[in-house]
Amino acid sequence: MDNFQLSSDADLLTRSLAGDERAFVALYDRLKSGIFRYAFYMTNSKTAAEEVTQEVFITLLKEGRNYRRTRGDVGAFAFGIARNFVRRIERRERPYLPLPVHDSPLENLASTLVAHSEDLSGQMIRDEVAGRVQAAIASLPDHYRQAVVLCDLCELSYEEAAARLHCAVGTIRSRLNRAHAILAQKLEPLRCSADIRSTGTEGCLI
Amino acid sequence: MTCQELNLHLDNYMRKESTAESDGDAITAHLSTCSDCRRLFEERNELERSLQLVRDSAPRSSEELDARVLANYRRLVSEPAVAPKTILSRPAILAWTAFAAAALLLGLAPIMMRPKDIVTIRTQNPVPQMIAAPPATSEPVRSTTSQMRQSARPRHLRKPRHESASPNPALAAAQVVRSLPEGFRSLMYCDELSCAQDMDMIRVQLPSAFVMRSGRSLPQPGGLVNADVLVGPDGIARGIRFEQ
Repeated sequence: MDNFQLSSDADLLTRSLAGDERAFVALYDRLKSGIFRYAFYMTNSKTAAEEVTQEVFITLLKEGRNYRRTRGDVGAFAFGIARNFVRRIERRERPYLPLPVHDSPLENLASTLVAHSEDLSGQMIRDEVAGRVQAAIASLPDHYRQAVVLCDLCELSYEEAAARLHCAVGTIRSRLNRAHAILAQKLEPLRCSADIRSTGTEGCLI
Repeated sequence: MTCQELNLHLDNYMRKESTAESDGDAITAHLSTCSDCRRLFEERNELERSLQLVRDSAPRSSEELDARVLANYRRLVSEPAVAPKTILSRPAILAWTAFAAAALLLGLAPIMMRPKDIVTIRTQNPVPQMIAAPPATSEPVRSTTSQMRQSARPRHLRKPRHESASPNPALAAAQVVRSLPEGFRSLMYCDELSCAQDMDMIRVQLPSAFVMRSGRSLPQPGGLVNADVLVGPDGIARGIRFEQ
């Protein structure tokens, strides 16, 4: 019985292309989560994320023979494919994007959620806040958004993110630092007010 | 540690990534003394909590996706292998482009270098013998078509474009009554100039005795005299001009 845990991604890809289904399943299990999460955070849509994931593996099988080890690992190769598909979906969906949310609804949301906190379950609040944070991330310029998604949400290291985006580690650091400052500013209305602080962490939205 | 340095290392400190222990102590010490940086630290902590919320709320991919991907894999593997495409590298593409350009230039070079504007016009043509008699040298007169066409086709003699579309060239010729260019003597017997089409000018050399016989005086009798003859496409000479 083959032990795929010791095999590299490149070996698994080679065996998958040769028809070894178990090798393909092992490779799929390794890469699926990262690709799906990246696509989901970039598109904010589970359907689109699954579409991207499926297309990435189809393309990987069709174009896998063009993969060169010298140009990076299979994960980076698959990420490049995923990034292209995400851009394609963004272009496709751009005409249907909602209008940008004005800041005042965020302030209203904070007061609304606090006022009805007793009626709302904690899960609903968390979902709502998570949605707002995702919207704030989606409004970032693309190079900042890529850094936040890869480092903060997909939890890649700076080095891995730099390899994915073909830039220097220092560039990732600076982009992340700037993106965090912008995000903190955008999410200011959601932060705990002095009154909420006094009620304790239960009343805090974030 | 300054506030600026803390700002640079804060992300690393919060991620606990590649931050030396001494740096961590320095950050902690600075945070205990600087209220602005402490506020920034709390702000980033709240942001980190919100990001954690987003991470936790991310959906999981469905089992249907796994099934679809596996089905696609089986379908693609069962298909006959497609012949790999020949992908040329960039240097190879450049080399082939340069080769094609060189081959094209080599192929066109003989055509471009050919002296096609030099033509040999023999004076043995159906113009009247007394006018177009070959010179004593009997050598062909060389002329360039470009020179001829520039000088032999004055603008007012050139046929307008719409005339070429005329269905009856004879009718068009009858309608066009023109005079010879300045300096030319008519050689026609019926009308002054009945050629409706472009004419060529042929430079000929005539014996001076021949010229004097035609009633023209020459400053230096003897030798050869240059003359321009206007010849229509039908081969009939219509005018002559002696070089001064």
